[in-house]
Amino acid sequence: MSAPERLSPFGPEFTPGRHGASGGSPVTLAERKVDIVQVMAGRGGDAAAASAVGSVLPGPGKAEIAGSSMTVWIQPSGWLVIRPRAEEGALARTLASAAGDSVAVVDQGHGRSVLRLSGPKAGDALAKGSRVDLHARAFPPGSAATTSIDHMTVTIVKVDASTFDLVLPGNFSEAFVDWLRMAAAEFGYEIGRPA
Amino acid sequence: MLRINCPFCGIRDEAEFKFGGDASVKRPPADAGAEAFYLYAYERDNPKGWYVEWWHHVAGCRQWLKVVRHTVTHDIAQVAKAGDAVSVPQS
Repeated sequence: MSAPERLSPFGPEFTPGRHGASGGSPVTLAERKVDIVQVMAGRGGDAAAASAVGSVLPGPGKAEIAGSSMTVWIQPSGWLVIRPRAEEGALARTLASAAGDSVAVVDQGHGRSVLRLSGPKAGDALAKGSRVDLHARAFPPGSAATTSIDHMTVTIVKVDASTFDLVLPGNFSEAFVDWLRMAAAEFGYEIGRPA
Repeated sequence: MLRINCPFCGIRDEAEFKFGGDASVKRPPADAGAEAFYLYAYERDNPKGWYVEWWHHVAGCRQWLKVVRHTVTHDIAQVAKAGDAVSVPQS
């Protein structure tokens, strides 16, 4: 029996289209179809975690980005591994068997969601609720910060000069987008297709 | 609003943290008796001056931190990782 089709945590109203102010350069919002796995190394387990993930593990406040994959620092010896969506649970199984007993690997595919926010005004919209300084000098591409926006805990990853990936608690995805719609309304925003 | 310099995340707003009480309390030995455990559980100093307290960076790196804060001026002298020793200013 095949698994039922997966529903978007962003809800039925998060459908492609243009909203808010017209003209200018709209902020683009799109769900990213990804697998998300939390990797937590126990004492002395950092090397095993790095070898399982297969890339350099970033330090505090940083993300290691390669194409559509990324590894994001979330806490000491704790990272989120984000990869394009593949077979359900496969990434977590692969990482867990490669990392061994000194590393805790938890599939967050149903616990978190990733929203991509892009456009020249993306940072301005996000800055309305962020306590973290998002200016290019303070938060260049490859930066990552977990903070609280509208009472929701959000991990912000700066992908490039005008692109942010936001890792959200899955069941707050709709509520977060409600806030973001208000923040982006003055610039206009476009909801893109999940990618 | 306090600005707490998290050793992992850098300077962040107090709103990202949860207060965790006196960080100088030591758990008594298991055989210390009811009176010692009563003091451990309930009795706290309320100093006017420097105070070592727990703060949990709950909306950030989720680590417990030790903060040396002045209860009158709200100055913060030091922010340390949970396992690190802190030094409390004399004045």
